[in-house]
Amino acid sequence: MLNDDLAGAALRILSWVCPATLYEGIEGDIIEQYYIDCRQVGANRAGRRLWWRVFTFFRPGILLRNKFSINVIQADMLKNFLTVAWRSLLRNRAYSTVNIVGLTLGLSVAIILLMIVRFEYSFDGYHSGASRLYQIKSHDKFGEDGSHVPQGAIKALREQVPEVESVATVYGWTPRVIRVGNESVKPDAGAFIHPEFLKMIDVHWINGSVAQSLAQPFQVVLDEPTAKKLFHGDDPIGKVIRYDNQLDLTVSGIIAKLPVQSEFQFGMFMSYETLVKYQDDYQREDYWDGGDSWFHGYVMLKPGANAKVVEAKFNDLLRTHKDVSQYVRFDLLPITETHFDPDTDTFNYVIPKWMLTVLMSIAGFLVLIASINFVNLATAQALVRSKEIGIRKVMGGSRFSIVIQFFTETAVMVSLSVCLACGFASLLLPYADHFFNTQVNFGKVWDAATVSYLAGLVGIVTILAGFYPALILSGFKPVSIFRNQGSVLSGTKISLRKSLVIVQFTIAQVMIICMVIGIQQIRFFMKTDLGFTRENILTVAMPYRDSVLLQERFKQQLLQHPEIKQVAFGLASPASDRNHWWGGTKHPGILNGEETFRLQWIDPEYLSLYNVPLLAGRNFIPADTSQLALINEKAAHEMGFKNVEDALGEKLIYWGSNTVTVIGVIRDYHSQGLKSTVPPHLYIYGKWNFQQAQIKIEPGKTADALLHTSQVWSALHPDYFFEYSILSDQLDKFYTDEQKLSNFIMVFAIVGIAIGCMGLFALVSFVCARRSKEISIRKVLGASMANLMTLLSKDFIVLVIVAFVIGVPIGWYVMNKFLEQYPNHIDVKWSVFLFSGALTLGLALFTVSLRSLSTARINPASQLKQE
Amino acid sequence: MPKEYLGEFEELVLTMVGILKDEAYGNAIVNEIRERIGRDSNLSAVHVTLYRLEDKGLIKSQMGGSTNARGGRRKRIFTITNAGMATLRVMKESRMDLWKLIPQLKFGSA
Repeated sequence: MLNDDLAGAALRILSWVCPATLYEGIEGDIIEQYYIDCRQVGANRAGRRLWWRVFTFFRPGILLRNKFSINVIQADMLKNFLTVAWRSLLRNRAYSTVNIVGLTLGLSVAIILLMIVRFEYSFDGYHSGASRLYQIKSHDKFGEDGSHVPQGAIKALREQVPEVESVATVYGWTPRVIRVGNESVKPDAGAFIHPEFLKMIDVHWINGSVAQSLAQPFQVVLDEPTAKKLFHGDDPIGKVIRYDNQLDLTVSGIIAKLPVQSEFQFGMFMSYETLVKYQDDYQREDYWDGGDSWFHGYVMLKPGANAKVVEAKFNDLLRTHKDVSQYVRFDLLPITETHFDPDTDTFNYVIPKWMLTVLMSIAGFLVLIASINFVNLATAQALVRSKEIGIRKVMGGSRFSIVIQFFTETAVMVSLSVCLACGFASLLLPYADHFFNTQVNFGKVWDAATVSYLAGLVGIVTILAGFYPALILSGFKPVSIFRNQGSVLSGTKISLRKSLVIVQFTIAQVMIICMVIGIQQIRFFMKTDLGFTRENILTVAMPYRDSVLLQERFKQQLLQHPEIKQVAFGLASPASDRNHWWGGTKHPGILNGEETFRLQWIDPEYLSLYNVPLLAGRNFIPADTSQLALINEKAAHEMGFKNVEDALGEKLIYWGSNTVTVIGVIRDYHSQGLKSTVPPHLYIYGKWNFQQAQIKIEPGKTADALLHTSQVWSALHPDYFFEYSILSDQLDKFYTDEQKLSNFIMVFAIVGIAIGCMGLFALVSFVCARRSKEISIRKVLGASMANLMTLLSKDFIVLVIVAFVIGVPIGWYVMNKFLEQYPNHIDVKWSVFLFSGALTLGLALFTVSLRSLSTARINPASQLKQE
Repeated sequence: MPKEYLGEFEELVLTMVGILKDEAYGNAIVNEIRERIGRDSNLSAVHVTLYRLEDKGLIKSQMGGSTNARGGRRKRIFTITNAGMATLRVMKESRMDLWKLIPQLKFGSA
């Protein structure tokens, strides 16, 4: 042999790539030359030359000779491996079951998660021009990001920036009712758009075209389901629908429904010219000031144009209008990013990217936990398999072939699990969609990408789970296997198994801690007093700019029913996730003179209905005009008054020209939900903008109250739909994201701990089987049940406790980071950790005792009689 | 005529196998080439060429005895086949025929 280790290493590397039949001759030549070199130029240079010589053997002429000779043997052996794999799978049913069930469970969740994550990432990426399509984000002078793009900016971009191919406004506006003939139909979401927009996104035209269907005022393009709903299969082209009882729109085109992974879930596209006729405000083409956050701008650049350049030119244009604009900057956001950015106020929903990252890592952890089971059980089984390995080796099996054998066995089990997991995943997907509030099942699920992902998953899990067992088992020396079975498993391997169990339970422990704290935080969100009454209140959407007289009659008729205690009108309930109106408000006391206040229109009964107390001044009375205003504490502070009384009588100017006098200050309440801080508020008594009726009802009489309200509604507003919601349900919608995440973590924590416990169970079974004779002897010698149980459980319980000790700081750190993002959050209490620890320990103890109990109760005679 | 032509290096290696007879193995060929024509050749190149010649049926190989100088590894000894000899001969003769056609310079009285 070579005395030089390095030279030996080089030859070993060569032996991996070199065809076995040729190797001896080549190696001999190299060694021979090495000795000659040693004599002539010394050991150092000889070593270097050897490395170089080995290196030159990595050439096609050598490497390509491999395949042919080896494949023939492998194909035969593979068949044998598969047979043996199948047999050992059947022979060790208990272990196989634990492995397969654990892996299946982990993989099903991982597959579902992948689909969810892929779905979320696929939003609006399918358009052929997606890489050139951008949403315009606006940045106003108060430092807020938003999505409104004034029509002046759209016009300037279209006419003055040469790199722009097309630009379009999309104004999401869903009417309250659509009438077709005499029939009232509850409408789908709708939007006013520039015709170019349907060229920017991929749309399949069934009838009509971009050029003809949206250029004129009062044209509307329907998607197929909406057309079917409105016209019941008749040809809708040229027919008229009545929009919100105000506008007659002619159907001029039909398009296929847009895929679910699009932000633009509209059933109706109305021509932008209609909007111009409908609302005078939009006739001003040079308007650069603020507006509705659903008035979006989208821009398609010419191929090869640089978005940064366009952005710069756009902002130069903006600067020439800076006196009349509330915006200081526009950004171009790639269309595929809009699904992740909360400031874009998309027409669909937004999901934060970090949540997807969390989901992916959780999926990874679950697969890891399941793979650890595999490793542990395989090493535990090593003893059983050691004889087989010994025989294989004696019969001439190389280490490599044994490694391949164990990888094959792992791959068989993993493939089986993946197949089962796919079945489960597709069965569970509709439920998962419902539970996690996603729409994956409506998109494309099984395609080439999924299949290749699954293949990749099989590969990764096989390597992860099979690597260690294959390495350990193939390293057994036949002599020691046959001479003395016991010594095959040395101490180090068992301690590895222990540390793997610790890893598993640490992950499970952290997940449980996250779950408990997450649930507590959500409960905190839902139960915390927001500063106004939230129970037993019904809100009903009123027709836009309804007549004041009808509103009053509606109120009076409702109050005749005993279940209805009070009725008030306003723009919206004190807190809701939609219909927030904002306005730049001026007062000399405000820093820089102006700030964005949230505007709310209320009637005199609004505050008393919601039990919001006045801190100073007086409430509105019916005789008041819209020249008077109330503000909240926060607004008074922003205006520079420490003492809220001092704000009374102050004059404020909102929306540039409307002057109001403060007559009262009310206590702050959480109008944006608990995820945000309280903004300054301005309350105006203006009947024109009462869009919602607030109805306080007798507790427990919701059904009766609803019935009466709907009857009164249909009598007074026969042309409109009765749309109501229960306030407390509405408020909970603020926390959909958090609810989603907490549901996710809960499922994962349960799956994680379940897989971990299954592994634990199998390990305990293994130990119990190995030590059954010892237990019997101890029992004969007088050990009590308690003694035996402790003996069998102690080791495992210690591992779970160690995992707890490691898991606590991790869970504490992670959850602190999570909670920090909310201005209103719970404090992490020690009891949470104690509870989580006790839960894990209890489950582990239960699992262990399932098996150790039966072992401890075994009849010693049955175990010992054979000796 | 042989069906396949031989490259220059292939022909050299084939000739060396013929020369070395029972001692033709990779390293010996490298050294022989260096000693006879003073050319440094690469061990791996020689090996690859030997296998290629073997594929063509011009040489055959068997495992020989081991020596201590090779760390106990056996040598793969190559021997030239009849086909190999025929190829060499054909090549040599065609070269000679061509050589004769080159106008020879005459020295001395003219």
